[in-house]
Amino acid sequence: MKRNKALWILLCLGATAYIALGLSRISFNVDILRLLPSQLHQVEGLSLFLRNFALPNELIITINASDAETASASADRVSEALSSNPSLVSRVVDTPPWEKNPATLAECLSFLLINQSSEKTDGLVASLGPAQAEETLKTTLQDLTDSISPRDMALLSWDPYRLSSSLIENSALSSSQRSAFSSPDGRFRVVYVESPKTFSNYKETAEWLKKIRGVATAAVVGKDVQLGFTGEPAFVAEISTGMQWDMVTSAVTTMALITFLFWICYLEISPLRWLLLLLQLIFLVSLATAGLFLNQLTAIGAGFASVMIGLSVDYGYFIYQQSLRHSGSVSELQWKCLRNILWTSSTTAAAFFSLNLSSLPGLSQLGNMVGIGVCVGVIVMLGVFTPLCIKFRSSGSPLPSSKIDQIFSSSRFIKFGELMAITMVIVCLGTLILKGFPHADFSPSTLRPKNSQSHHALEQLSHNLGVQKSELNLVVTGRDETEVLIRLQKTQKHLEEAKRGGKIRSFISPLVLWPDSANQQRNLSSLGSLEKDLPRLKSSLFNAGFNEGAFSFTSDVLGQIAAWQTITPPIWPSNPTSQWILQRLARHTNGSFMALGIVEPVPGFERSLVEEFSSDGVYLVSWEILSKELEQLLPKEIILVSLGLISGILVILAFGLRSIKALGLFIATTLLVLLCLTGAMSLLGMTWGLLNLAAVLLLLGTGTDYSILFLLALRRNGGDISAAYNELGLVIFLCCTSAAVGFGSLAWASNLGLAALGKTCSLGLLIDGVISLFLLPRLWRSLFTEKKA
Amino acid sequence: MNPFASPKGLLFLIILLTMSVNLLGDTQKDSVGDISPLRTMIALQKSIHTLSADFSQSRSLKTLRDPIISHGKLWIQPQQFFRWELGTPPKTIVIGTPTETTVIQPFKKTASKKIRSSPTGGTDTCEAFGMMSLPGNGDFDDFQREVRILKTENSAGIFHVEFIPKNIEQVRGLTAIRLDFNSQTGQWIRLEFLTRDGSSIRNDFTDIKINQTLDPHLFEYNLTGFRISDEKK
Repeated sequence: MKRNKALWILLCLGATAYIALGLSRISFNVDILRLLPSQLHQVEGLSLFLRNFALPNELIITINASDAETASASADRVSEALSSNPSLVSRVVDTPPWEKNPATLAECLSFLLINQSSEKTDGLVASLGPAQAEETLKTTLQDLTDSISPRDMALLSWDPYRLSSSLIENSALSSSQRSAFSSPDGRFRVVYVESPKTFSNYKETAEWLKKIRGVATAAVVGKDVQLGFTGEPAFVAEISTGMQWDMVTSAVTTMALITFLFWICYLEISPLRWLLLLLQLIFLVSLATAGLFLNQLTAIGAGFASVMIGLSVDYGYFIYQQSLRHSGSVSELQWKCLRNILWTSSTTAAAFFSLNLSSLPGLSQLGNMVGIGVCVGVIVMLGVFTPLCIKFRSSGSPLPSSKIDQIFSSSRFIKFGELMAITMVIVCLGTLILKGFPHADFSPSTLRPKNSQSHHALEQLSHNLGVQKSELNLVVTGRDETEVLIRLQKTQKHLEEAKRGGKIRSFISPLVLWPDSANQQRNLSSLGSLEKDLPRLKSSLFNAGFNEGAFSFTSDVLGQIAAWQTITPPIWPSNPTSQWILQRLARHTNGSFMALGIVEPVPGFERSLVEEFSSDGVYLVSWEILSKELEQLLPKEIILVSLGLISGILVILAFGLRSIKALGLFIATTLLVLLCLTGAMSLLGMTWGLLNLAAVLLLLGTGTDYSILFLLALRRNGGDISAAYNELGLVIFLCCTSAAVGFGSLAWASNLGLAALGKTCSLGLLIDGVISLFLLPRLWRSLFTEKKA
Repeated sequence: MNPFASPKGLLFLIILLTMSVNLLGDTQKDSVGDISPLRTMIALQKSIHTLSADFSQSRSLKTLRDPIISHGKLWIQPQQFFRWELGTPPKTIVIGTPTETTVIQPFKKTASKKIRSSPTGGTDTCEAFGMMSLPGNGDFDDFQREVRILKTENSAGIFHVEFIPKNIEQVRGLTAIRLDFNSQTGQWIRLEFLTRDGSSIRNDFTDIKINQTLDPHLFEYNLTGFRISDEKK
């Protein structure tokens, strides 16, 4: 006895340690692209784009006010308040960094000068030579007199030697006039806030965001000022905390409804208490196992965990119901239950694990997560709950008389059920014929949180800063600077051709900002030599009527270029202003070399452009194109996986049922369930999406359990339908309602995809339950009575 | 010291404000004193259907020892057309119509066209008629919404007002706009733009003629033989 107790204590301690270790290793990845097939060029490109250009530590605060002055004042106040918290933020940027300190821009302009073609540099060097310098200044003075160009006015007065003129001619620089800080009417402002440290988990991110939100909200004045928070930290905090809430509420709701159902069916407290405890144990052990053995879990993947409760409780119901009629030992009951559960759990686990065959990581995660849960559920229920059920019996408590159990034995109820089932089938199939299949929406937006504040802020940001929805992102990668440069040069030609061909309206290529070692080498030599001419250039400037201030830019740029002469190209500019500009267009750290451009296609040419440009290391991507690709890929993918899954289930069932007719009956009911589900979805105006298409697979894995259990019960009872009802009617009712509740609780999930999955599965399971309980016996009767006749 | 501070829009604004007869406003009565002449002058704008004037423009740039002085002429049909010539003979001509703005450099034989996104102008003050259609239709309240008055002074029959558009994004780099006008007649005398780097551009108006018939050909220009660049707004 003491030995047993010690063993239990050790087991409990071991389980606690296992759960603690597993849960501590869980980290949520909020990137929805992790759910999509990585071999898709669009997914690969967008992942690269997000990983490299969505800055993980940069929060974007949007300020929306009724007038420009309030917006500007609010942006100033928010910046000031946040800047005074160095422990909270490392940098706050609310205007282009070079506006506050223009001298810092000299480094970036110097970089652009040494990076340009040597022909342009030769022209520039000539214009600064003793023969042409005075003429250059005369032209500048004339332009300052005649020009009405704001750019010329501002630039030439500070750059009289026209060092920047050759750069301005570049379309990439001159066309990029979109402000990253304000809408044209000034009523919308943007403040970029950087965290001083890298976040180790989503809780840290959420805590940081909460503090920033507090400081920013306190800083703004006026009721009509609306603050928005977006960027990577805002998405991480919102999605992860939302998912945490979804999991908790879904688990609690499921538990509460299981308690309610069990209580009204059996009116027993002790088994219910243990059942709930064991369900929590299954949930935690499964989650911990996922944390320990699966790669980083996506936030949506973790949301599937609550589904496990709804599935595992099925085995508990079955064991408890069997225990009520069992008079033998624990091991006999375990063996009896195992023979039934084995078929249902193996088909369910096989169904879920086979989702790994899919190229969709989202489906694989769903499969692994629930597959683990099913296995853990079977082990815990058979190993722990079965002995407990016998213990409840041996403790002398009388057999509970369940009124609901009696209802399932009543012929009137069965007839009523049959009538309801036939009506449901007619309505669903009728709708399917009349309204057709539900519409499909595979856009990634269906995987986002509903009422997402950070997404709303991002949409406002794009709208107010003039980002076109049709824009495509050009991502060019390579192993080193040279490879990226070669690809960029090829892409540039391609872009120019496409523009001439009328396929592209405009584009911004990052080529001009990518270091060209050969150009840099040559230009450093020719431009660097000008440093010694600074006194002459200064003197000419004074003679032309300029003052000391007009020389600072020339002096800074030529000084910077001379300083770089000792460095071996490729040279990257490194001061904070240059970094701020480059971090949005180029990456060259940690062995990652990547450049980002923007292409605005002429409507109708998007797909052909994507196909033309897609090559090794070159990606032309957008969310719109991705959703179109998914629309083509996913239905095929789901059909293929479903066929594989059904084949597996049929092989398992061929051994279990050992009857071709019974197998045929199983196939017929499964098809009917799927058709009715489709009809019901049409009726309710639901759409097929990325995740709820996976509901088909889930139904094949879980919903088929009901028909399998009933077919096995019929076989066991020699085709006696009443006996089968007596044995399993209540169990199937409980299994179906609890699983439907488990999935249904996801209908309120903050994530749209998860909510759609929950609704579809819940609906499908209820249909499955009704058909298995009321139509399957009828079909069995007609099929096997005929045989007898 | 702000040589590269978003030059976009700055000079357009300068030119267009030069031509604007409407841009005035007040928000802070208490700190700026009596603004009744300003109200009167703004109300008078409604009665202006055409306007022509000569002007002398002085560009006092921070990096130049001496200001650059040019002379020019302007013709305006508020909310419709304008023509602005800088230099004698004109080296730069800007012609605005309800659909586009054309900047012409006759000696260089070049022209650039900026197509306007909407016939009514909208809120983008980089557009010619955008500025012209700023709260300047004689509605003082509209001015108050768009413009912040920094200072007013009324002396010797001249009303001096210093203001700044509230949307700093439209006038990035500007610190103030100064306008002097006759406090009795509302006639403009001087308009000056002060930039953050310490430069200023001042326009002194002479020979102002109001509501005289303008030759419609003023707002046309034969661009045959010119190199034309289009910039879609």
